[in-house]
Amino acid sequence: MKGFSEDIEEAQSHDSERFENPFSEYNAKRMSIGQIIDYWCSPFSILKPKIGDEKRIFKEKQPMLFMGGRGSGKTMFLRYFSYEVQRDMMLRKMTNNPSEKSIIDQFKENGGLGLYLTMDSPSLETYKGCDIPDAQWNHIFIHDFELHVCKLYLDMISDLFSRGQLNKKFELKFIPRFSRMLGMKKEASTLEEIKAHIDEELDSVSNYRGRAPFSNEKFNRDRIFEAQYLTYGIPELIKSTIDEFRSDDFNFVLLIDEYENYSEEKQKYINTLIKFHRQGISFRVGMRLEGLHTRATINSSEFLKENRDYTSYVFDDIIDNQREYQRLLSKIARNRLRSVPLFKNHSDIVDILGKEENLEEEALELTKNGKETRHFSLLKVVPNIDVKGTQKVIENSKNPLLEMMNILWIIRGRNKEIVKKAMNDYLTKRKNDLSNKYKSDFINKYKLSLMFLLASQYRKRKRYYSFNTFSYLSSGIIGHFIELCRRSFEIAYYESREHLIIDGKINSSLQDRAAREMARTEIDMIIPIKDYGDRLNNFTKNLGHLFRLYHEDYLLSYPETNQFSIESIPPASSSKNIIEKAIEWSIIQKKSRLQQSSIGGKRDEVYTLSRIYSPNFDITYRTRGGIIERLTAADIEGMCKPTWKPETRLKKSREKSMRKHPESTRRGKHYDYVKDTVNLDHFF
Amino acid sequence: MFEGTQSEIPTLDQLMDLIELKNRTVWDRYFERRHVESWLDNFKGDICERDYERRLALWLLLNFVYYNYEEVRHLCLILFKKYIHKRLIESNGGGSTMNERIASVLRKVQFAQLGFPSESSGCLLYYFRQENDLSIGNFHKYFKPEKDKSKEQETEEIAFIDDNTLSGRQADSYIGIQGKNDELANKKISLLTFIASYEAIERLEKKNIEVFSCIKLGERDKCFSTDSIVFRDFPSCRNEAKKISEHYGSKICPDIPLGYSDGQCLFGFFYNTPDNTLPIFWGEKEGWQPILIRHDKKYSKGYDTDERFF
Amino acid sequence: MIQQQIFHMTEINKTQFCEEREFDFLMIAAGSDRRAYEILRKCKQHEISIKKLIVFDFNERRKGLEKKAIKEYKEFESFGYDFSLIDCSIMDPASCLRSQEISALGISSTNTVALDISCFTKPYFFSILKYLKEKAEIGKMNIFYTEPISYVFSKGIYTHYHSTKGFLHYMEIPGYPGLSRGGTRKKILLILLGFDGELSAGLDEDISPNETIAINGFPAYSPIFKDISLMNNEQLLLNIPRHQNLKYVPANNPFEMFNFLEAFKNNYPESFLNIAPLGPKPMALGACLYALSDASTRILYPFPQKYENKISDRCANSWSYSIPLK
Repeated sequence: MKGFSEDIEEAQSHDSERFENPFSEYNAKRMSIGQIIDYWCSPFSILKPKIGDEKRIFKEKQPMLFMGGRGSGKTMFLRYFSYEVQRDMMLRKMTNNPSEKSIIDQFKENGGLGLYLTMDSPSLETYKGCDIPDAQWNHIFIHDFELHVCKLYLDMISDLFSRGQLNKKFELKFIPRFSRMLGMKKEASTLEEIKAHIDEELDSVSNYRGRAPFSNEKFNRDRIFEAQYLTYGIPELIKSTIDEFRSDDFNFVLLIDEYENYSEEKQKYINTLIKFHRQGISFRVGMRLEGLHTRATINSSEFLKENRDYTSYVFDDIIDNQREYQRLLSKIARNRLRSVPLFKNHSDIVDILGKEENLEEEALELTKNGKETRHFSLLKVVPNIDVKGTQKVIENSKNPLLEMMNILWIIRGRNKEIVKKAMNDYLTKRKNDLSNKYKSDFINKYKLSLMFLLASQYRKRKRYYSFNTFSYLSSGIIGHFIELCRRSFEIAYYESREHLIIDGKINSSLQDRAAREMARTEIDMIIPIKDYGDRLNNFTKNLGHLFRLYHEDYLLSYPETNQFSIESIPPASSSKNIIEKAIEWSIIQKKSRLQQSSIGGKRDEVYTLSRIYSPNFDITYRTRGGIIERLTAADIEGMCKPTWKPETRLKKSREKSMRKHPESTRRGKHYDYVKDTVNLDHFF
Repeated sequence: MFEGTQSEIPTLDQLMDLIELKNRTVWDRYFERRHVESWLDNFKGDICERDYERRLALWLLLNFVYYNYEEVRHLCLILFKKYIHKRLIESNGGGSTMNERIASVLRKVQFAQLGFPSESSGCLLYYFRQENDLSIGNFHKYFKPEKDKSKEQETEEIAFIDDNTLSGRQADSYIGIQGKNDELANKKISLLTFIASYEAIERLEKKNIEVFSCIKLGERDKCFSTDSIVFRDFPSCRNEAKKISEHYGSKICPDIPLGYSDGQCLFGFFYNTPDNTLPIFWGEKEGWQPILIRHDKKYSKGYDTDERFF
Repeated sequence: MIQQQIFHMTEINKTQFCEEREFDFLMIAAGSDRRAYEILRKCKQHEISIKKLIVFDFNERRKGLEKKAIKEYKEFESFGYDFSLIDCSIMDPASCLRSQEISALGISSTNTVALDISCFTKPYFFSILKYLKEKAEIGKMNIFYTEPISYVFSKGIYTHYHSTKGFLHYMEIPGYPGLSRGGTRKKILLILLGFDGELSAGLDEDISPNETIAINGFPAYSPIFKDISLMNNEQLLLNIPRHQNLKYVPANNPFEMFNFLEAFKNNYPESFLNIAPLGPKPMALGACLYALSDASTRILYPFPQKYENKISDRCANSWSYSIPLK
């Protein structure tokens, strides 16, 4: 077939246009300065009530701790405020407006300047072992840390100097004082000489780390820097020599990323810097949730105290306005789509994915346009029921979800004629108590659950698709949303290329595939977690399966259950460690507000399983109020094993419920305990 | 035979997923699903149950090795380095620095295309020259200005370049034809080829043609041999896969149902698929939908066009 | 500084072995894999004299042996060489090399030393080479390697390859910390691709470099291997601009790997190079040689909770590399 051959030939020609996925490369560490600026979407419209505006990041004297899961945007956030990125933004402004202020004046106006510091876990791990005492390693680490901070300041000063932002007067004052501070044998006359000296000192630490495994030598230098000496000394020196930075209100901000990589001992040292920070110097620290391993400082009686010594912001938690969050996601997606020529005419992700699911359409597809009626077999649980007769009364082949609603009401004891009336009143928009109740149950409480249940009746899976669903699945982590889009585009390019490129659409089945593959990948990434991988893996799967059982419950006793609370567990116990690790790795997320774990129950800390895993377990992608599982330490320990059975747990919950409400439980009337007044659609 | 485990060949869905993965990661998204499905439609269940035939076909496709543009250029680099390395070891003098020694080797050799102008070898010379930053003077010219003829006396070796030699017959034949040319008389002859089989190497070395190659293929690289690495984990499927390939291959290319000289190969290059490769991938006759393109050589001098305006 | 030179790499077969006919020390790793003693078999065939065979006996491997594998594991005893057994942990090469047993061997610059890397883990032979260069001051040695015919893929599916079990701990290989120098210096990670994509993706995420370069072994031992490594490293490859940052080096040639790294460094003189040798051992050997000659290079590796027992199938070609350490 000539046409097909030509098609293949064109595809295989190495000249053919290579597909560029607009959602690839979203690791902020890897982004160039230009990409950070181009892809930056200010989150302050969402963050404002808590953090304030951009300038506050520089001006605020109190240290700030930013916590969030992998992909939540911490690195992007911190890098944005770094000297290099701010400088390039200023340069762009100056290019567009030649009368714009100089770089140094713009920094002065900002009220601060950020220096981005990150140390990866492999290097931090080496300050131990080799038969060298821990105390000695701590000294070496502190010395090394001080040198790293020094290097950041030096790079910044050198850059300002090379751009003509600093005059000769500065050079004459700063360099000699700096070289005296560093204890250089021969006083430097240029910044280059100082740089060479610092590099030599840094190399000496690295070389020692390289030799330590094979020899017993001691670390020996002319000058070993103590804690705070350079971290505070250098900014004070800069302030005294650069007029633009002299003001007390001008802040040098150390942007420390990946704080979770620092061991407890190392964090003590940096906590000390944070606690006892000086005028004109502050800290913005990014870390995973539960990445703060200790609040202790090097002074055994002093500890970091939240709100007094620092303020913390949880990225996943700050975004509590779903609409604003979606707006942000849409903006981020638009920037990315516009940057790829192939998609510049299709830059609205909402349009590409579809705004929301169409559950009615999905239900019709499942039942082959109403021709299949397998789901009516659920009625068999009602004793002595005429299934066919009842079906005739309550059916609605144009809307299988309404049929499911009706089935649920019948199972719960309502008369079939009343059910039919309620449905008809709802459809004809007749207002009365019955139709209001019907509408409330259907729209607010059960619609999505009914869809899951319907799918399970046909041994099919509910699909995960649409912008709305993806925004929920991402669980407040922007990186997850981007990855969901990336996968969807990749699959669509293979399966349905024309529909993607020409029509600018991705159909729901392909999006569903992307969501499921991502859920699987995320689950697979749990096992390699150091020390806890296996247990966390079992815990996650058991939790997911437990929630799945709730979704399969034909009584829908606890619709869309995906939350749990924890009875107090001893600190430093293994179950406590599991929970902390699960939070650190964003496997579970803690809700910001205490909540009743059940109606009339006491207020506990409530956790949800990250919704990115939902497609793996075929459970809801949202989080609602309602009955929550309450886990003890023993439960958690049990769930860390592959042998744990979620069915046993569910049976216990039902038995407990039945003991409490024997009458209504018989037909599932305990649904009444899911009150309509509970806020059902908040983000978490 | 291998000690490999005897497993069931993956399911159709698993194989389609693997093909999609390979398409994304190796084949640079060249294919769409519809291309693969159209190709699979060729397998109608003539030999085995239809789905099983398609699984085996997909398994073969999964094992197909495609050398893209970057990889071909890399092979040009490696091939040259292999050649130079050997010659440097053999030569004892030639200069005090490495560059001088290499220059000394290059002065004695001329690279040439194997076969006739417009064959694939000619295209490869271009990449070979560029990738190795060689001078045009290092390449054999069929039509030379007078001034270049004196340089020929320095030339002690002609090194032919090609992409693959599996039986050795074609190389043998071309070199034989070109050998009748005075220019090759008394010169050492080498063949630099990306891919060579041990069989071809042995054949050519008996004729004093030294062979350099980046990739050597043996019995285990022949798709349906008893040592085939393709069926290491599924030895029981090998014979059926062969029957299927032979059956459909004989409809598409009756003379070479398993590829030229019973090649049973599973590789191709971005510029063409060699006819040693199974015809089920590239054949177009009898309504067969190929998944890869092969441009056959024409030997007749005729021309055929449907265009109205010319 | 290693001088510019012609490298020597010999395929060991019936007619050729290597130039040396005798060794003072040959170091091997004990194992039940057929490749563990293939070099010893070939030494016997070629009547190579070995004064002392040093067998690294990893207690994790020994304890994890099935009964039927014990005989294969102890095969080194049957060759008739005078051997020393070094009891050590596969997870801690540095402790082993600091031990009395190693220093008691008295390896020095006057000895002819050889090392068969076929069954050593990469961190181990990296540490051994560091020790031999800096402590024992060996200037030149022979390194042997036997390729497998293939690798073990669960159910024959290429994407089901695992060399490790349990969690992973990404660390610097002892002795190769590099010179990071901090500041705004660009951190580049070069990953030599293996078949285990979990290792590369996890390492890349943990290190979070400014740029990642993937190096695929090509030509590979078998043509299909270059594709399998790309398929299995999809997660990593998604994060890099593939057409610029995917490079190729022959899988069985450490010298080409060295050349590549040296040329790369010359193009990025101010960057901090990090190398993760996850791919074929000859490539890893090239990376090791480079890091030994350029101490500013850091070598990273994912240390697993446990290594899988059987990951490869039988023996293919064996190679001898004449390695200059100075």
